[in-house]
Amino acid sequence: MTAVMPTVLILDDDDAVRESLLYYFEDLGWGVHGAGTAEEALVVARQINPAGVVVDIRLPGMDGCSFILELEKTHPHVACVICTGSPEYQPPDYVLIRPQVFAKIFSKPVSDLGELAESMRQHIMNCNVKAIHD
Amino acid sequence: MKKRQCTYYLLDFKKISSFILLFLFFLILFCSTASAGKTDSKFHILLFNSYHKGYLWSDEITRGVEENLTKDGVVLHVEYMDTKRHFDEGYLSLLSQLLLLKHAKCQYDVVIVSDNSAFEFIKNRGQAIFGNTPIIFCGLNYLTEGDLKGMVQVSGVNEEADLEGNINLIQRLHPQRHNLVVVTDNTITGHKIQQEVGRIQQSLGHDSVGIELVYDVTITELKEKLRSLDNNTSLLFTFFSRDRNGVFLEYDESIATVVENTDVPIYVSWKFSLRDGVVGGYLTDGYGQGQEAAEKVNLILAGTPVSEIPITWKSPNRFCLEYALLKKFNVDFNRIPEDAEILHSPPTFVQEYREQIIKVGIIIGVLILLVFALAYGLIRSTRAEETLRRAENFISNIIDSMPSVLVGVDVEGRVTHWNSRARTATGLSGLQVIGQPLEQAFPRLSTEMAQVQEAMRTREVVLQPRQAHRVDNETCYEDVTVYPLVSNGIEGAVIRLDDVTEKVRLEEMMVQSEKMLSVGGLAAGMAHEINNPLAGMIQTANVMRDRLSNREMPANIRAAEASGIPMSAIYSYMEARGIPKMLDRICESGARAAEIVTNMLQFARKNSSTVSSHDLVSLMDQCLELAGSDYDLKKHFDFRQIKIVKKYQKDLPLIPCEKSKIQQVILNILRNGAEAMQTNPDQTDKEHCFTIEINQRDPGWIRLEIADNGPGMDEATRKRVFEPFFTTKPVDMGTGLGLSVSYFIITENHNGRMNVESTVGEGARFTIELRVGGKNI
Repeated sequence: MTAVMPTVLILDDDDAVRESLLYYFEDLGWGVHGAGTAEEALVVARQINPAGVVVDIRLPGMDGCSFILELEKTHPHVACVICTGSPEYQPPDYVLIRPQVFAKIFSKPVSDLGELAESMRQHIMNCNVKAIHD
Repeated sequence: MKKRQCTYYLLDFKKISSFILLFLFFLILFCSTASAGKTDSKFHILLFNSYHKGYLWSDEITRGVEENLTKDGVVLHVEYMDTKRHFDEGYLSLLSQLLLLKHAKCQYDVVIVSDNSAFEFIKNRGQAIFGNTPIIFCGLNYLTEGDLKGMVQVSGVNEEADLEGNINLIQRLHPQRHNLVVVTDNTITGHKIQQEVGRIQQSLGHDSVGIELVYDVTITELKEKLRSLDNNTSLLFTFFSRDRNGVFLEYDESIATVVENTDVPIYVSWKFSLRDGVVGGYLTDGYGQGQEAAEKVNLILAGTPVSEIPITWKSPNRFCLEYALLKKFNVDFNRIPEDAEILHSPPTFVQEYREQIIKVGIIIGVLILLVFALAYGLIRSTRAEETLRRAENFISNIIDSMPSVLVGVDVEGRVTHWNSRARTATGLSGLQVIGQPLEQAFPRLSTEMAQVQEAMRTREVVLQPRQAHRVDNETCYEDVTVYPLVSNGIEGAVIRLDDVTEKVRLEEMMVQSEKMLSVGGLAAGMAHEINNPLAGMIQTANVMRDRLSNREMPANIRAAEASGIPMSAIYSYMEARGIPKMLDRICESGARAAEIVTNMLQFARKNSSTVSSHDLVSLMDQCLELAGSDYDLKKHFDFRQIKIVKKYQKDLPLIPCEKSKIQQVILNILRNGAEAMQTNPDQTDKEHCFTIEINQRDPGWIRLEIADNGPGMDEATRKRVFEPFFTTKPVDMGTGLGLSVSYFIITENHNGRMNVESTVGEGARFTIELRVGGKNI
């Protein structure tokens, strides 16, 4: 069972938030990794090749949108689900139209973590389908 | 030696000067006496009468001369020739010597001769006596150019008894009397009259009145003749001074005789013959002769040469008639010449009361003037009043049309003016309050008396802005301004009240709105910072709940086994201690905090909004569905028990709007309505109902009405329902932001309209109007 569960990378500079997500995905049996900055996350992602990334937008240094574009260069089919603390945040269109970016933007605090996890699982499957086609 | 001589000359000069002074003194003295002598040299005029003093004719001439010599410094000498009594040659010779003597002593400047005897005398002897002294004659009967032959320096006035004028007058006044008797005598003058009558008889011809001339008679014969006259006859008396026997008669004697001896109308030629019993005539009078002569003398004394003064040939005669006798002889007054003088006519009313009439006239005149003056004054004052009244009306209109309450007070605080707004504000008319103390008329202003006194004392305007007072349980605000009335001292003050309630509310609303905007701005900035910790809390709490209570989670089971405690035991413990519920509480509280942040963000003006076209009807239905499953709604009331009446117009156009925002507004209204209906203790048994109408009355607007049948609200609440933080709910039940956020969304974000109508006890009706073309049109 553990072998089939994908790995997810949690990119959030807020330790409590990052940890709560790490714990949640971990409890569901996912492989989890955390990163506090986009730069760190890029390094980690290249090491572990995650199936999906939960991306915070406002980060110290490189922001979430730049991270998505940067990650795309090496891992174009990694599913990205944006979860931001700025309510009503809409990422720029050039980010939103990326197939690896999930259409729904989650706002912190995420009241239903199950929805987030389910969205991530679905999106990873879609991204994998695309990857096979490509 | 030489020096002494000088002194001598000096002394001599002193003597000479004193002589000169003496000479000047005498010169002045002489001059003054000489000028005094000159004033003494007056004009000496000699009046030489033919007859004697007391002879009426001569006296009349004398009076005419005396009264008409107007030149200053005239001395009139009067001599009487007395020829009625003396006319022999010896007498005349002595008389000429006497005049010569007198003239030698006092040179006459002009000699006036009256009547024929004196004229004849002067004509014969004047040159010898008076030399070339100017001669003025008068009273000369029937003068001819020939009479003046050989005379120089002579002028004068002819005297002509106008017999023809008299005869014409008599014929005119007595047309029924066909005979006329003319009485005269056989003197020189008498002869001339006889000749004249003869001439008139010839010129009149046979058709005229028969004229009989009586002249060569004795007194007795004359009387007999007079007595024999019948009433077909009238009589013209010229004069009769000597009868056939040489008996002399005075003027008045002869005419008296005539009057006494006949009853026919008697006319006379000379004025002196006028007396009782004489009708009158075309009269020659002595006074007129004297007056004419005197005027000629005046001309001579003024420097006119005698030769240039014309002889007055036409005797100055005039008509004179006795009123009583005209009446007696039944004379037709219309036949009387217009210029005739009627003697002793009964005074007319005007003449009789002349003095009184003048007095009354003056009084009436004065009264009329007074009336005119009063009328003028009245007109002026009426006009002035009219102008004043108009001005007053005008000013009163201006004052009444002021949107302010204006109350005038006097020094004692009594009302002097009360405009229409004051009437509206108090319900009292001006008539009721003028003169009343301010406290009584306008109790609210009783606190302002101190300000009024201060304004009057300092003569400066006192302003008290935003004074609060309660009207119908609502706080109203007004600016109170007190203006002192200063003119010739202090006369009072005007209190002006301006209702600024709306202004204050608006300002407050703007302040609130600004607050909201700044809150919104702040929220946008810090939402991220708050949401992250909230996420840490809530998400961690969720994970904790899973780890403590999920008995199937493999990680849980593994950890429990490793700890030596069965998962079911842990679960039981947690349940027993209520841990999952507590964790739920953390989540709920965190969610609420997040919601407040989200709400606060609503006040931020956002440019980027996701506008798309929506069908308002389906949007409304979705909202009703949402409301039915709304977590909060479900918790507090059962939305499904509320009846929904839908009145939707078909085929409405789509509207560009932000769906979620509009939903938020609709849900807010539904929630408020449901709360109002279901929490109202008076209406627990009533069937609750929403009536929802969507239609397009105005082509540019889609209209959405949501009406409930709850308790409604009073006017004060209704007015403030959109104010931020205004709420009628208990403190923990709402923030007072819901409807104001809704209002903000509709009016600011969508450029639409939103309002509410309500009647207490009948519910409230919210109306939202959105533009068909979207917010930018």
